[in-house]
Amino acid sequence: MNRVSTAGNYATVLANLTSAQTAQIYFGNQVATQKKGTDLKSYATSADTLTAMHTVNARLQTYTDQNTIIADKLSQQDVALNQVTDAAGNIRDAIANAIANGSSETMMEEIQAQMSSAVQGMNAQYNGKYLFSGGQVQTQPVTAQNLSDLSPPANVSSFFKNDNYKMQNKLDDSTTITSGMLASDIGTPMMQALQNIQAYVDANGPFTGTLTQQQQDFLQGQLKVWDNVRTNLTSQTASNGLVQQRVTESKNAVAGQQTTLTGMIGDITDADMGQAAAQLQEAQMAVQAAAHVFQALQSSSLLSILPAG
Amino acid sequence: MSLTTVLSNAASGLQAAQMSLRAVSDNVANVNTTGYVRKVVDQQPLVVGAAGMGVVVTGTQRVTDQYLEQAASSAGADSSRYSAYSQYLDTAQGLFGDPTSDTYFLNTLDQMFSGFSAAANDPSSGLLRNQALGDVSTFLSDAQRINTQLVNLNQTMDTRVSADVSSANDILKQINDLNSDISRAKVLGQDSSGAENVQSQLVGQLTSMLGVKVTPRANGGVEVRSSDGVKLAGDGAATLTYVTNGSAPGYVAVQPSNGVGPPQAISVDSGEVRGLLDLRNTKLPQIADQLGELTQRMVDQLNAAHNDSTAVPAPATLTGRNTGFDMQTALANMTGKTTVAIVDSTGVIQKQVDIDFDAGTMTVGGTTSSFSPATFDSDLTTALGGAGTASFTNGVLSISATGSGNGVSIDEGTSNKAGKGFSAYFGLNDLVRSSGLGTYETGLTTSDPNGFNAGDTITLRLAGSDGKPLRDVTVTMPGGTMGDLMNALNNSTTGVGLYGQFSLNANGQLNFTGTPPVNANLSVIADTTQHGTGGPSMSQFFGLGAGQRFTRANTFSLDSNIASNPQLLAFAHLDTTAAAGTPALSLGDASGALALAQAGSNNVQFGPAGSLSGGTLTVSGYAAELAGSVARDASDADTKKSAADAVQSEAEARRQSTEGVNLDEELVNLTTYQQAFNASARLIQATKDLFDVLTNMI
Repeated sequence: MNRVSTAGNYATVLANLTSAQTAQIYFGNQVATQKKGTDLKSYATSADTLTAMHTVNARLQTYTDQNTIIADKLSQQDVALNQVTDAAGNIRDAIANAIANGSSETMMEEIQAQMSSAVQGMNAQYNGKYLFSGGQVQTQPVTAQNLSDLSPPANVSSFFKNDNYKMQNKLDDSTTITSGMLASDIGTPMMQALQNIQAYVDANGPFTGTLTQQQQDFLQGQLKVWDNVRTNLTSQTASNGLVQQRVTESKNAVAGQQTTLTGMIGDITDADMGQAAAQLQEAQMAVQAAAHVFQALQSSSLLSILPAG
Repeated sequence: MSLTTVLSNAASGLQAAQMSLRAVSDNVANVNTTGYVRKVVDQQPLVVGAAGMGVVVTGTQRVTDQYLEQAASSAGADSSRYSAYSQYLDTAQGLFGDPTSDTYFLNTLDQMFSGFSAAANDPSSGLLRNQALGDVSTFLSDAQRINTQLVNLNQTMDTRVSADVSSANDILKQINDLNSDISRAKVLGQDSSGAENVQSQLVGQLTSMLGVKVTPRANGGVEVRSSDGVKLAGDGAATLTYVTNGSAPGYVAVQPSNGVGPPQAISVDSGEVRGLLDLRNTKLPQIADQLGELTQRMVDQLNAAHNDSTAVPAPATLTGRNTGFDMQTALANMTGKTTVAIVDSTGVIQKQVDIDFDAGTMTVGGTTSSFSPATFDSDLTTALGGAGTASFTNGVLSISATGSGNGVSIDEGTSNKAGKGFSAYFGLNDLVRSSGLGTYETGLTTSDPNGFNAGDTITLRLAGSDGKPLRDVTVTMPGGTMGDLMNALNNSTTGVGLYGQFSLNANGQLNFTGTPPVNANLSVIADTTQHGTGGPSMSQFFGLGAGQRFTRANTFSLDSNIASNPQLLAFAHLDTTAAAGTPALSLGDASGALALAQAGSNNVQFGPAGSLSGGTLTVSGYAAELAGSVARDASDADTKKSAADAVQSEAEARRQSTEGVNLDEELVNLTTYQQAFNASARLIQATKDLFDVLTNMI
């Protein structure tokens, strides 16, 4: 090109000035919002990755939220199981004491009290729903209240109203745990042991005061039974504890994954602040430069040189 | 040699200077007029015999370079095209929201799954159920919002193209009228540059709208033709019309200036109209189709999970969707086994019917009897033996339980037709209902009766990729089987066979593929077909044409019963192994909720929609692909626009540099001609003095 037009010159300066101003606003926005953009177009080729990452992040967040609820529920179960285990232990102790003292004065009251405590444990609720009734969350799982309810020929299993549904929970993409426990699993050995005592009482009369030799022999035999009941309950509590541990481990793993993912999402969406600030400055300088060029153009016209007359 | 010769030479110099000054004054006055082409005056020495007799102005020329003009105008056409395209595509992609914020449309999917996961922790909680239903509602209404906006955007395209076409008509007329002015001035040897300038500005406007070809005429003026050579202006102005026919591609047609013959479709290769038509005919329907495909499959997955579950207590009646079929056809090709049970209010099974579709039998309490698809409803009622009834009316299957407190529960088992279980196929326990036919996977095979009334017709239009119609084909329904229908459709003379093929896939979905290199696309102009009496038309049934696919996402809503009673949200699974007398459904069973939460992670067969070819992926995966495709398209459009703008600026700058007025140059010319005028005047003064000397001598 060896010729330029006046209008073209000014139009070019204007176009440069406008594009410098547009760049200034664009980078100013990035600096202010700290994000590369607010619509799909700004992320262009990364939009599908970003969407997929968001889906994964939402899923991890769901696991995290759920984890808290499951952990809570498992703690409640733990408390209830401890209550039942303690009750079994206390019954065993009561029997042992009676044997040691040779007197069963308070034994039956003690046994009744501990039975009530155990049943209360098995009927524990969480958020208004029974913990150990399987799927029948509105139905009280254990209906036996007193020792006398257990008199033969009553069938011990008839006092458990839970079904066989054990609740499962997905902790993360690869871990599913069974968090549900059934009252019938927890309480059947204990109820049978209690029924043994009740059956004995029904057949041989109540325990009052000093123990007879026959009663002592019977009670001695029951000690082993109650040991087994307690061991069984302790191992069930331990299983629950193991599940609790898995829940905690899963929580930490998910938290770790979320941190990494947040970082990866940030890599896509966050503006590089240093770069944006530098580009903002460049754009500001470009605006000033264009303004200078405009001034220079104005003063380089023949109009200002030629005389008017 | 006489003094009068000197005088006449000087006078011609004065004239020449004046005319040149006139040209300079015009240039200076128009220094800022866009598209103005500067004038220079041609001076030639006047020669009489062999002697020079002064100067003569042979004409006023516009300093144009034809090739620079063409380059600038075609760059301008491209720039307008991509500018319009990217502007509206930007609006469309903005409808999806900010991918970094919670209001992003695709986040509503994740929100839905989270809602069901939370509900799975406490399946009997009314609050969590309500929240989960709210999340589903949000997803559906957001999809609807985007779809409605896309439809509105399409209508805006139509309005703009119509406006452009009518202003193009005005411009064509004006260009034509100017042709006669210019020709007349040229013939008479007068200055035609003013009219030519106006005409070239009009041509510039027209090219940026329509991308036409302009050639100069021998006796002045221009001839305007469309990209494929149809004459639009020159010896008479043609009239353009914008033709739309429902959702068929719109195109521009020309009525020739002499009025003979029907309007003829023309190609528009660039310009704003091309950009708008590309959006209206291709891109926006593609985006709507993809959105529809995503929503459709998501709804299918939700419904599949929901149909395999039961609410506790079980609902008294399950009412299905309109399958569009009669009972026998609906049940044809259904395979596998399913269980229909009547349960009481505590979930204990009262009656259990095991249906085997492969063997064609129903088993109740150990007794097996066969059933016939034509009498399925009465056979099932008999099998239920008073505990419940089944009925099939107008394409809808319903099953009800008798006795107060009793309800219906279904275990899908291994049943399958067109990828759906028995209950899902009939839509008995759908969570999301559709006001249209929803799924286009009919499950029909080539040997099944097609069910369309023989003699009804459907008119299909085959168009090229630029929207120009190639051929309209009217196909008559032949009756008989699907195979007969396919043959009628694919016939080379009475069907679409020359341009492409219809095919029926394994799930009974009808797809049209255009044969290369034309790759024609298909749209529906008229459809009077009916499937059975009062049934859906062929385009509704198979989802033919953009019109059907454009409105898919608009048709979904939550089942009204479930929406008003969250307890009907089905979270439990029928336990067919439960001992007699014990509940087969429990309130704490969360398996249904978990299945709903997993709905986004199941592998689903997606059909081709828009620019995505489909395939087997999860709904969440498809959502990501949708986001990617929309984002990339919008970003590409922006890039093309920037590139076209850059080319246009460069072409304009070069054109301006040749044609534009340079004020300094004109000021120098002004001074030059002024001096020439002064010099000639001085010469006349000198000659007058010489005359005076002569007369005073005597």
